[in-house]
Amino acid sequence: MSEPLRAIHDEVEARDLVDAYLTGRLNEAERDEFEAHYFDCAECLEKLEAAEGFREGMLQVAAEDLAKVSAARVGLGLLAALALLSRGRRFALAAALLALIVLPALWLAARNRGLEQRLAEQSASTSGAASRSAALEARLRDVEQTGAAERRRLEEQLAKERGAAAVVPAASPAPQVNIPYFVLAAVRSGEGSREPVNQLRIPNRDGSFLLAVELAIVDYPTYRATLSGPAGRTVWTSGGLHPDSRDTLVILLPARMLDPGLYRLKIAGMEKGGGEVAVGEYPFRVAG
Amino acid sequence: MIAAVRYHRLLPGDGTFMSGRAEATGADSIPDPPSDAMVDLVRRIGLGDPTAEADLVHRFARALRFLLSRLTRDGALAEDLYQETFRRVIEKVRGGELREPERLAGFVCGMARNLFLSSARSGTRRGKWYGDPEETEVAPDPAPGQLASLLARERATAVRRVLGELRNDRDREILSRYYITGDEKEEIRRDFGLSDLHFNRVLFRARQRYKELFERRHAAGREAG
Repeated sequence: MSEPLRAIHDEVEARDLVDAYLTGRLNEAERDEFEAHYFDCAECLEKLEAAEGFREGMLQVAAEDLAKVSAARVGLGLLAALALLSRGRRFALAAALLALIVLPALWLAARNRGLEQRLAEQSASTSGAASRSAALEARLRDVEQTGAAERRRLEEQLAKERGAAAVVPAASPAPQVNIPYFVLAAVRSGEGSREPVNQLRIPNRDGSFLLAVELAIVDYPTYRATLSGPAGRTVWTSGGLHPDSRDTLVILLPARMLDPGLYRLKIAGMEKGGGEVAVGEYPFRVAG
Repeated sequence: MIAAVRYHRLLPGDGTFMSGRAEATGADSIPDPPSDAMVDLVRRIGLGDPTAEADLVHRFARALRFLLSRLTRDGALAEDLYQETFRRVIEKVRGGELREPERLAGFVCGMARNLFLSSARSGTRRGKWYGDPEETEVAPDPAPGQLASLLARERATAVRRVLGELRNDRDREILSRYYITGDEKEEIRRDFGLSDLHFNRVLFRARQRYKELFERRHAAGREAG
């Protein structure tokens, strides 16, 4: 390795330029100089690739964990909704479930009784005729087998329905892959009445999606995000938010939260004294 | 005819964008870059030496893919810009517009960055969608491609394993705050009472282990394939 290159490498190590570059902590001149260096330096490029891959992997892990937590919350929400039902409604729900179990059983019992009665009548009318009796016995067995098969089918159907009813409150917290990711563009003042350039097509209404907004101003300790829907109705708001190292706020939203229509995401910087200063507005349309 | 050349095809192995890996352009294959070599390369391109363009691509392909992948976060757009960067660089070098040949590396990455900025401003590329709202039916699908998703899963698997192998929660917390929350290094160091050296060691160990695991998975994938 040449002397000038070794000197540059020493500086890369000493100032941890790899991380500083990846996290955007170099100024423009330093960034350009480092890029020109690693463009022809395999050692630094390898370090960059490993560090970038690890960083991306950490973010991917965080996104997956977040999706799991989100799905688990939905399940808890359903259980909570069940707990909030009045006693009368809970009894009604229990009665409905009980009816699902009992009614098919009663129907089967009644049908069996009918079959037994018919068998008895036929047996009485054919006493003395051995061949007819044997035929009737065979038919009886067939009928019983048919009845048993029918019963098994109904029991399986019942079990499935009961299983489905039990699964609803505990929606499985499966990890989500390929979560739709939208980077929202801010609008300048005076563009409020135009059709927004941010057009969101959410492929799966049962899933979640990510909204990312790049903040032009990052001078505040924390930020508040407020999402308002048609007619200015506030859909969601949250304070104490910190942008990531790229000055970006990334928000995971359940798709069902937003029906098709116009929305506006407002970001405000929260001053130490408690005041809020508007930082950016991001109108978008959720396509139907 | 510059425009007719598909520069990535000059590379053996046709490296992948999102992984940051490129076959056969490994660390050992690129020699130290004395400025004489750059000057010679520029001179050969200027003379129309057909092997010089291939040498240029071989030398800068991997770094250019890395830079464009970071800038665009979009494999298709990065591929477009990759082609365009080499096309323009060769055009300008042939036209004698590179006044300091020893700065060829900086010229290539500067060209890539400028093309990316133009693309973002014009909104005609496939990256972020700045298009006419009335034409949203032709807006690009924001979902990542299959390859990008596969690589993301592989990266996540390797990172989970690295995190699982860490001996203490403190190191996990440090990595999480640095890479996910985006906290400043000094703040994290102060909170955990770590020296600069110690902090860097935690990061270095985690990244090295990640690199080993990721490369092992890739090698296994290649053998299986």
